Amino acid sequence: MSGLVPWVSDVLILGALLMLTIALYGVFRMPDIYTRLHAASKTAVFGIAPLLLVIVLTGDAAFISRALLMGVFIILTTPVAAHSIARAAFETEPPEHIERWTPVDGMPREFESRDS
Amino acid sequence: MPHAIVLSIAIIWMAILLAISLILVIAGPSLLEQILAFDMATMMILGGLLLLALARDSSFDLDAGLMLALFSFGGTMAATRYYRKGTIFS
Repeated sequence: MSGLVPWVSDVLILGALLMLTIALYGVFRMPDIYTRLHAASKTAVFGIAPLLLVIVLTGDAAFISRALLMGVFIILTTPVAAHSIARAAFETEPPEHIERWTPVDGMPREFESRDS
Repeated sequence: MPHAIVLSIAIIWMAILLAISLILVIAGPSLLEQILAFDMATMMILGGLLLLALARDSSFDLDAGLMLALFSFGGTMAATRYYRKGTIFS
């Protein structure tokens, strides 16, 4: 059982790096601030949480306490920061400047114009 | 503990990701995207600190990461409030 821990740690570290790389590529690739925010908000849960799980798997009490504190703090604060960025973007830019395929009030722009 | 070779590759790869996100901080199209890229660069530094704590087997790097997460959240909130209202405290 304890011989399995280094291999599980390797898999978790490489998966976290893969998710961080995908999130950074998404920030480059997406055309809009809202969709970029969607890509960038994945880094906390899928990129940092596996690394914290690796630290928990080491079994040292000084590591585990700090890792749990950091995990709770990051999972609480990342949605608040993302919501603050999205709210600043929505309040300062006119909604006409949102890209065409970003949904406005739950409806994509083309469906909204087709109904009206 | 993960293997040493995986840890070395992971630290180098995290440094590359940090460099790319710092380029994005400088070259973001608008100011909000620069704020977003700065938040993301802090996440990369945080991941690098976690890997460094594993590599050096010292728990003091985790304290630095905790403080970095705290100040990153405060900085993002202050920057977006200043962008939205013109003042931080209203």
